[in-house]
Amino acid sequence: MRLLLVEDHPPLAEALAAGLARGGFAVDCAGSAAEARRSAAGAAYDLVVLDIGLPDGSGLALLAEWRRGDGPPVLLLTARGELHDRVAGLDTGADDYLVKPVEIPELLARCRAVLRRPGARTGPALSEGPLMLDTATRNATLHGERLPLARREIGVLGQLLRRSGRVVPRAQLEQAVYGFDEVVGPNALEAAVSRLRKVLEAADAPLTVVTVRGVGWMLAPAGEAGKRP
Amino acid sequence: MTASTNSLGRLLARRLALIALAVALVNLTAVALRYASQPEELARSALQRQVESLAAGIAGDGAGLRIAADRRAPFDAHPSDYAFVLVDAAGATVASANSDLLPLQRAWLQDGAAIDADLTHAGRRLRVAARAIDHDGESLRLVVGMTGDPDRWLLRALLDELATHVALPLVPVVLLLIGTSATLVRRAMAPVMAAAAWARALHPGAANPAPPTGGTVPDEVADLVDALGRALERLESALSAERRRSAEAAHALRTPLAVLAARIDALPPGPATDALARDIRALTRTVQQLLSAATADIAAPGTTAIDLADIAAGVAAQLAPFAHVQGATLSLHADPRGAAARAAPAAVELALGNLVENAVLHGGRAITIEAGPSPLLRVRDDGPSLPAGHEQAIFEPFQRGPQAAPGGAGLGLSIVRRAMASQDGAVEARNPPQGGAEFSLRFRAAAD
Repeated sequence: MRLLLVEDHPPLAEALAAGLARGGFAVDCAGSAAEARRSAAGAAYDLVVLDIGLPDGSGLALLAEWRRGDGPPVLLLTARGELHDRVAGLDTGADDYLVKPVEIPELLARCRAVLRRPGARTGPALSEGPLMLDTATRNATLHGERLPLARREIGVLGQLLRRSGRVVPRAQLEQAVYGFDEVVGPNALEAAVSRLRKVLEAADAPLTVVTVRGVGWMLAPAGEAGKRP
Repeated sequence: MTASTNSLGRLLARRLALIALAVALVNLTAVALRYASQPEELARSALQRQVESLAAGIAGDGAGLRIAADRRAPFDAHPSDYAFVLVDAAGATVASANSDLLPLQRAWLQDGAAIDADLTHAGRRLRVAARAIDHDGESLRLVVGMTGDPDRWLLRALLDELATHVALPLVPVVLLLIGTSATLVRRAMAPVMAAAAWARALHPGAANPAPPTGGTVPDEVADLVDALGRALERLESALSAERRRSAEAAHALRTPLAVLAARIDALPPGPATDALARDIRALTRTVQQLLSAATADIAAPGTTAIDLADIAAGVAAQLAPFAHVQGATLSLHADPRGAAARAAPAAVELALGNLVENAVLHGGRAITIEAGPSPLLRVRDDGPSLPAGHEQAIFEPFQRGPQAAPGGAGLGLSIVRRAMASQDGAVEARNPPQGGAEFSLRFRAAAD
């Protein structure tokens, strides 16, 4: 996976590039909008991590330029965390938005999540740690062992894996898992999520499905609370 | 202008009423003094009233003239004090009452003249009024006399005089004065009221309405409006400088923190690295809070109706990973009746986000956000209760409760309070009976 990091602060660019490289990306750095423009024109990137505040212009302007053509997916990384900044970034066409400071595992997870989006240049496999889902064969495996999951549970897992570590709203999950003509009971989704959680638990997976009642579900590290790497 | 007792209109009306009262008093004194110095005037007036009363009561014609019973009544009731005699043109008595009190004198019966007399008869003072009366073309003479005054004719005459000379001319003038002055004041104060309404609607940092102008605004008010406008401009520029500084500070602080956070990843895993990661997270949170605190109370109040449940869902989704790491679960309960309010979404997010973070960091394991009923948001946790008696103190900046989370700057709840104040809302804390702590955010109603 080839990634372009556009960041004008040298120590931060160097530290982020090192972290992304450890995460398996081939990283190119650009310190200005002009440099980023040249790099993007010269090579095909799978993903761009873009700072908004650049010395020679706004990252948002660059993003808007790329969005007019067939640009790569963009993850905005910025010091501006206000609601209207986030909305402006996503409205301009960013695939995701992260506020500095960010820890490398979180950045890597977001990068992978953007690459997992439908239409992104990615293979058919979704994975998070030892958990893997082949979207072509619809087989889920943990450490290579097949998990006994039904069709809907595979659908739920696919959606949760695409946004791993973040909450997937209920409506989005419903839409993705059920067809339009399917008659769905009021608790069908809860039942599917609950079975998926039990299967993960039975297989001793390091991941579990966390319920945010009234909002949605997310795939998150299992086990004792507070044990964050 | 409000209906306060200090409004200029009321003040003027009160003053005018007082002046009217003083004028009435002066007038009363004058009338009273006049009659005190000329008592015979009063007697004449009293008798004149009786003459008029009796004359109006004459009925019949020719020899059959008589006086209506109700007009005679005072005379019949007091036979030793009051008397009258009605005499026709030929000198014959037509009607009378207690005529023995009245020794008729020739002068009294002379045509045309109105005669008043004051004499002593049978040892008592007798006051007499003799008048010419015209009844159906017939010339009559009426003589009325009094030796005592059990029916208080004199007093009634006095009151009558006062009413005629004091009350009648003064009351309409006073009413007219108060009415016109109230109208004039209201009209003159209208531009001031318009300017006050404009000034009340001003909010630094928000899109403000244009000041009231036009040909009808007097120079004095225009000057005040102008001065206010300038003050607002200065405030606006100070605020925008403050915002710019906050943004610069955000950038300046976040970037080195980002370098630290990124470099941690390169360290070999171990307890020291974990501790460092935790410290950086705490520092990040403190920086975030300081920046929020700098901007929380200058958020412009919301102008459109929003759905609090939508924002609550966003906040819950955003904080769920953090809560999970801390071992807490979040749930959102949206009231089926809706949760509408009028507020700026960013301020709602800031207030609610800080409350949820606060609940997680203070040891809540199950945290519930309730959206609604409108216009309320509630955050309830099952952690330790709030220190009794400190429900208000916890909202002070840098105030850290005895169970405060380690590493916190004590800014979270003060940010909540300031964000709420910027939206004309309020935050309240209490210990619910089932335990834990509960915070309520009350916003302006959507219909406001």
